[in-house]
Amino acid sequence: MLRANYNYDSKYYIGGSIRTDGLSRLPSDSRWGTFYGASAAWRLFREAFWRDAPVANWVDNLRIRASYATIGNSEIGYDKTKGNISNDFPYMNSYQPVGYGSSVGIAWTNFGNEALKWETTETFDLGIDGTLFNNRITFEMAYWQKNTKDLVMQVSTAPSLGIPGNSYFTNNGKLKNSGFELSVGADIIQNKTFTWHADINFSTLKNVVKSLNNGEDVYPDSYTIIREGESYHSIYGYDFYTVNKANGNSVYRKADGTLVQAVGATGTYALYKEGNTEDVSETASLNTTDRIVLGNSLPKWFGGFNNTFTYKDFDLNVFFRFSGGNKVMNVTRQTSLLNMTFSNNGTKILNRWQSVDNPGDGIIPKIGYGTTVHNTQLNDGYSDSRFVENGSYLKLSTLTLGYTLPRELSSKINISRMRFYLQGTNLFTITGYKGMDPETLSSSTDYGVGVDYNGMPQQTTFTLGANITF
Amino acid sequence: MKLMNIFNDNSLISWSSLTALFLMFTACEDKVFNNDPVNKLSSEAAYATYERCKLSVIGAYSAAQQGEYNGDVTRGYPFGAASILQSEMRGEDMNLTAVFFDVTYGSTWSRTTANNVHVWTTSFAAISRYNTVYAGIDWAESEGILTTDEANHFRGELLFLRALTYHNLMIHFALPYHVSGNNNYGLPLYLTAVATEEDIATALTIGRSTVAETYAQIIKDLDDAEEFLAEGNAGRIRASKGAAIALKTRVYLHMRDWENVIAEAKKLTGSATTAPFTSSIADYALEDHPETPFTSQEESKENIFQIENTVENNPDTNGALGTMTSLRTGARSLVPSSPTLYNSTYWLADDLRRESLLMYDEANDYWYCDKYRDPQTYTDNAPILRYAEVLLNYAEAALRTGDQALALELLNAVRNRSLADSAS
Repeated sequence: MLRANYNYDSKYYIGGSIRTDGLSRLPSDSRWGTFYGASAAWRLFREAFWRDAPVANWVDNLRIRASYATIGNSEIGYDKTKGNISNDFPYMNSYQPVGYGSSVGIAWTNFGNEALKWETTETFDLGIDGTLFNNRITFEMAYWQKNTKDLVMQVSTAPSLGIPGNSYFTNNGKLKNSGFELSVGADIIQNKTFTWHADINFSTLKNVVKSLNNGEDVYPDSYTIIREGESYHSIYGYDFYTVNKANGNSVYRKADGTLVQAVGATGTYALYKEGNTEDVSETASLNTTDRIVLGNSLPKWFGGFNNTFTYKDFDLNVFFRFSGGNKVMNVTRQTSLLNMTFSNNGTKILNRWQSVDNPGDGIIPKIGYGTTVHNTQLNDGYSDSRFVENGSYLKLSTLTLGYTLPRELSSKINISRMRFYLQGTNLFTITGYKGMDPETLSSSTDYGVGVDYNGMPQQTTFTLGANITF
Repeated sequence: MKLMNIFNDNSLISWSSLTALFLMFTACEDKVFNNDPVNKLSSEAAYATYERCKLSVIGAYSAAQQGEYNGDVTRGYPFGAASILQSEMRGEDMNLTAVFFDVTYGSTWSRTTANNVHVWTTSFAAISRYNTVYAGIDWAESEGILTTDEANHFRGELLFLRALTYHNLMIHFALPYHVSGNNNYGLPLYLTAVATEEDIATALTIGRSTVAETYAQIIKDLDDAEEFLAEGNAGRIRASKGAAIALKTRVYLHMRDWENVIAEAKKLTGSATTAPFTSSIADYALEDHPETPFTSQEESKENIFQIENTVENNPDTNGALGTMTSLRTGARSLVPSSPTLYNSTYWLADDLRRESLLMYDEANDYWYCDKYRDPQTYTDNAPILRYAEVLLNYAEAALRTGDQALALELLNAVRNRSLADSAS
């Protein structure tokens, strides 16, 4: 391992590093990987030509930097049924104890892959940062790109092959992430009694799967897909068209564009005709191959806005967070409509189709008894575009009001500083998402990002406290 | 560029940091680090000794007893309990008090119904395990770790389990043997271990065999198992020669191959033509009382093969036979007997089974089967093959080939032990 940095005249900086790492989670042939990096920076304002330029009056400090590196991922072996990296030997054909009645035996529990190797990422970034107006404003802008290849992921196998867990770890795919970051900080007001400092940062993220083994899609669960050319872990499901006003059937658009409706509680489908909506005579079908990509689950933009105010001995901190450009499959809302067997139901059921004169909101179909209705009218177990919602939000993440006791008072009791504060977190969220919290993840680790299946929202908390320095 | 002078003029340059660590750990790896896991065995280690091979074969039985249901090893799919409960619910002799088995009972299953999916996935996971252990046994024999006799005995056990599992799959996922138009809808036959990505690719090309081909493979596996396995009853919880023969009487019956049913059954009856019928291969015989095979499962001479469940390892409250079918304390009592069966006049009122194998629920006017009596610790074994079935299979085949006298003799041998008065 070697790292070297050099700077010339505090103007030009270059650095480089090289390292080799061994990972016991990989088979011995591919265990050791070599990773290297290089970076360079140029502090423009130190140049002679800069100091004489008029722009130096308001720009104090300016630096351009770039870097390139390769890194390896050691956190592999994530087992989705357990929700953590429990498999420390994902490459090994391993046996573990199992029981048969009163006897104990051993059984094959992991499909081995001796060809497993390092998952590597090439990162590149280019940025400019500096300060303006006598260090009153600091800013940083950067563009970055990460190309990951040989992703270590679990690939599913057909259950009839009987492989333990019906999956195994392999290197599969190339992923590209890129984005633009901007952050600006400013002392907006600086008086003796009142100050206001604000920071804002904004990032964009573009994510695309560049390639997968054999171009084959990977299905992490029944709601999402990993497909070439799409964002990683996109939402994948049925394309809902409308509720048939004549009979309350759900109508879907198939992959080839034809419209089919689920016929009541029969479990069958029929063609839907716009001009003749009562007609259910022509049988049709709807299969899992008619699903389409309904949206990306990773946000495209996000950031934060932090403000700190001080007025005499009071301080106030207001921190907003925002994120958007992603969709969430609201499985909680979908499954809340499933209890049609005279059990508890979500309130949206009140908007269902009840008759030709009372066709409801065009989203909830006519209710019926039994799992057939859940499967065909609501696509239980799969994503459905009715329930795919915009996951953008603006949150007031933290609000803190503090008061510091004046020195004259606190020093009388031998305390150098005493500050009381009242803090609230997650105070309110502005979002169009109909679920409890657009940031929520499912309660079960079976489902990853983009799926809200009985997820718990974040708590709003209030804290009252004191900082005391003796 | 001034860089050329950097080595001379210190005021202009500063090496801000230069750290070099040339320690290479590669050479140390083998001496310092032990990279083997502490709680798992590699596939070679699993067959490295005779004892380990035995453990691997027990692992195969474990797969037959219970596979994964929704991520946990529970509920007894395929043979720990589910094969009995699901088959019962497809038939007419049982009834339902709750919706637990509603989908099977009412035939409203779909492609994604949990019960069906798990019979399929656990059965194929078990078949894969049998094939893997078989490959391990092959390797161990070639390395001289096992003698040919030891290896063959293990092979016999694995082939018996594979035939049993494929046959159960055929009952639930294919049309019967003699139904015309069925011939392309048997099962895919996986007969070798799938251990590498190439094996996966090859296995994916295996299509569905015909019903006849699948049955032919089942029979072949049982013929081989019969040859490899020893006489004796193997504790009745492991495969034995008698078990392979008994299963053949069932499979041949489903194939409508009466001659072969008779040929196999003769091996277990010593070609006797009058009662009492006994088997010399493992001392099988009918019990005097119909409840004995259930009250002393592992000792009763009538039991040929069953899947063992114990306090530590059982299908649990959502799958065990006792929980579902029994009325005793702690049971969920979801599966009562059908009134149609109870009220049949040919089931005589003084039949011993009415007294000892049924329990009455006065509150609901239900009768519950009392064969499986442990709903609290779930230790009821799952009976798979009984001598009584062999005799009845023999009787049906005998009758269909014209030997009415023998058929009656066999039928009455089984029936009489349940009657209060055998002459009636």
